[in-house]
Amino acid sequence: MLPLFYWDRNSYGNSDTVTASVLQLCFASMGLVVSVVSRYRPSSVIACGECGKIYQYQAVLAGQEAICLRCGGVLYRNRFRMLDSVLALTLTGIILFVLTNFFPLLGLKAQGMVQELTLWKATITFWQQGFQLLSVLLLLNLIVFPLFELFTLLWVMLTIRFNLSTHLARHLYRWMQQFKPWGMLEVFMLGVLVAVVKLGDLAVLVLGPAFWSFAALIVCMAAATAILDPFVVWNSLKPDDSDE
Amino acid sequence: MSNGSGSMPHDFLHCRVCGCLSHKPDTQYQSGKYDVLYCPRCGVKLKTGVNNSIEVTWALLIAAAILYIPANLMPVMSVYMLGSGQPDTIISGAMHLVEAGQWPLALLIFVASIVVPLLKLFSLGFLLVSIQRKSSWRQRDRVLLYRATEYVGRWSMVDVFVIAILAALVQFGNIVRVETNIGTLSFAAVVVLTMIAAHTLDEHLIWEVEDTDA
Ligand SMILES: [Zn+2]
Ligand SMILES: [Zn+2]
Ligand SMILES: [Zn+2]
Repeated sequence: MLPLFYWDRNSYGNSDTVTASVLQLCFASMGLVVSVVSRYRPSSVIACGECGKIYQYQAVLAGQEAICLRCGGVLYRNRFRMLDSVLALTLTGIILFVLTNFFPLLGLKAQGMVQELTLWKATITFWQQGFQLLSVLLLLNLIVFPLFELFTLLWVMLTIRFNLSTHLARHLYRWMQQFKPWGMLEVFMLGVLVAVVKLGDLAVLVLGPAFWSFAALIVCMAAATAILDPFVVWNSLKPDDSDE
Repeated sequence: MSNGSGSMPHDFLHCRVCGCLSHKPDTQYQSGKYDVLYCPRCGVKLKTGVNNSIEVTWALLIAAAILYIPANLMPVMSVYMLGSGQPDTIISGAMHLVEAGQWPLALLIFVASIVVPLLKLFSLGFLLVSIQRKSSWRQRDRVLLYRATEYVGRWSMVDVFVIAILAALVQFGNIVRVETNIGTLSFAAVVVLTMIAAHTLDEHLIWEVEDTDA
């Protein structure tokens, strides 16, 4: 039997089913927006994340993955030591991110002057030239979202490892998944390479120490993304009864 | 009350973010047009009742298509050498690279900044039309097209980043300096809008045809 309960985001809080249904019907009849948390269904039935087809969960051997028959999307995988690897990569990534922000990526020498490029300077230049919106976009792409991704992964891995309350981890991981395409460190790396080739003929270009830590950071984050299976994370982050 | 795995898939609410399956609050509950259901696991708003994905995506796509014109006609940056400035559009910038013999770079900029945004506009438009026609034509390939469109979109930002890097690095006062121009803003807007459009397009609608008679 499933417990018949649900939570409501409105003022009436954790009420029992009958009261809540009545209130809900009242609100609905008045045409007001009703907001309800849908009923959690712990079971072995899962849905394909890509196309929504329903399957019965079956464990697969280590190193194997389950594929959707309809759309070919990966349902879930069983990876050896997945969480520990991701935790290690995330910690390395945070250190590399700090290093990258403290040192110059590139230096350009011309007429006895040297101009240095840091991650921060790349974002702030648009602001100085009157394009504040672009500057904010770059700040989000290059600093805010990558940092958010790293710290979310760290917190999620710690939550699963040490059986902490899952509430914060669930919300963070959800936001991280939704904002993932907006973190663009690897695209920026391609931009750096283009700039290096473009300027290489014209002036003396020096690769700064941050160039190498930045490259390593991108490898770390890409590896963490490739190794981590969201299905396993979500399966480990079951709602605890105490929250909401 | 509990109807386990034997129930019809239509009874489930499927969270697109965490993949969790849940039930509507109770069996008598009829979802109204304005009701908002939240996923019990990740807390995201579940899509129920009206699905306005098509309209929102069309709106974003049309806005992006309009901005694509100034993004290509207006200068994206100017190089000032010894006081005199030379504004460049994306295309003229790529042409300078070809003249300088750096054609692989020119090709990269051309593909990332001109071809990819244009392909995104066309493929999203095509997907929207085919969904609205409830077409069952090559659904699996259309999902692949959607995934490719979604994946490749962010790489168009490379041109904006190159301009940011050049503007930050090439600052030698009167000798040579790089200034950003308004074209960069509209180009970034095209990339952002098409990325949001790819996100708002509900790719599950591609399978809607099969679901109705299943
Ligand atoms: Zn599928
Ligand atoms: Zn919550
Ligand atoms: Zn969810």
